[in-house]
Amino acid sequence: MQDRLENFIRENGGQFDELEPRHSVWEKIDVELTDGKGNGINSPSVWLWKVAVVILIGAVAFLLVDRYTFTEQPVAAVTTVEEFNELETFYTSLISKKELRVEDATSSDDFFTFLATDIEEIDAIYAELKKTFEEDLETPAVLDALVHLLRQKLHLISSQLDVINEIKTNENEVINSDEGISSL
Amino acid sequence: MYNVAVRITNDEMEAEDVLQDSFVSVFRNLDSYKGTASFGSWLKRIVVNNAINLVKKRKIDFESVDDYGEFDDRFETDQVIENRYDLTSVKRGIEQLPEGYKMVLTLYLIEGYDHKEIGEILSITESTSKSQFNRSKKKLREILKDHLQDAG
Repeated sequence: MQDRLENFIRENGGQFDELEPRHSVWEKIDVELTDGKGNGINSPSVWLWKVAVVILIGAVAFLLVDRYTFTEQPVAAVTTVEEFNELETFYTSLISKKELRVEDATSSDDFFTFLATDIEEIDAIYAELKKTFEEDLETPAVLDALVHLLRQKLHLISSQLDVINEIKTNENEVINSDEGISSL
Repeated sequence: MYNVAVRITNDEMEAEDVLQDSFVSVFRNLDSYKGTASFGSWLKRIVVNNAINLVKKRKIDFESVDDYGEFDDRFETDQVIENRYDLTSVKRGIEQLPEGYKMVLTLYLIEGYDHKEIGEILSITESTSKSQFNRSKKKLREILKDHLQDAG
């Protein structure tokens, strides 16, 4: 049976999403996550992300090949775009803050050349995939791939931040040890 | 996700809390993401569940939903009203629905869950979800009809 009210609400589903949370919500989330209460992002392995990126490149290649055969309902596409916008805002906010912390920590050193290169690589893949997503492939599968890239970037920066902190802790211990010896 | 939380909690501040708790929870439990659903669906389900849990703390009477039998609305439609829907009045009408009605109607029509999933989310049976949904539509039609009559 045709139900005009039901159809009307379904067809206008995207129009019901008109509110935005305050910016402070994202800041609170960032604070909670950077407290380091046992989350899985600050994993000690620096190399894991590289394996993940290789897998992701394969997935992206598959999606690009598959793009001409994949179809999606217009209503679902609107929802996916909105979902993507929210997730991109969230992750970008976290990434920006972590990048600032890395910049602060390395302002007087020059041992992150490879990090910048790797981030550029991820950004390039991300930009290409995002372009595909926005132009004609607004599907949950591509959305997942984009979010995965953002997570990998965040993981990479977080891992490097861990390495920086570890190096600085070791340096401080050496300095303290030297001072202890010289005072004898 | 924020709008999903607002629709369920009916409170923007509570929805912000739900959003914050959900994102933090997701990040701390990334290892539990099995990949059986899309990441977005997984995240959305966590937001929905957290919002529902918060609403349940207000002691909303979901049990009364079980009192309803099957409801057939095939002869309840008013063709004059059906032809005059507009987005603003429908949104306002949904906001005026009793909490239980609103929850089932929005989960089904806007969030896209089926009645089986709504049953799992709200801890009610699938048939209860269906009958509650039909009654929520009837109630919404009544509200919209009143709006139209008020507007002349």
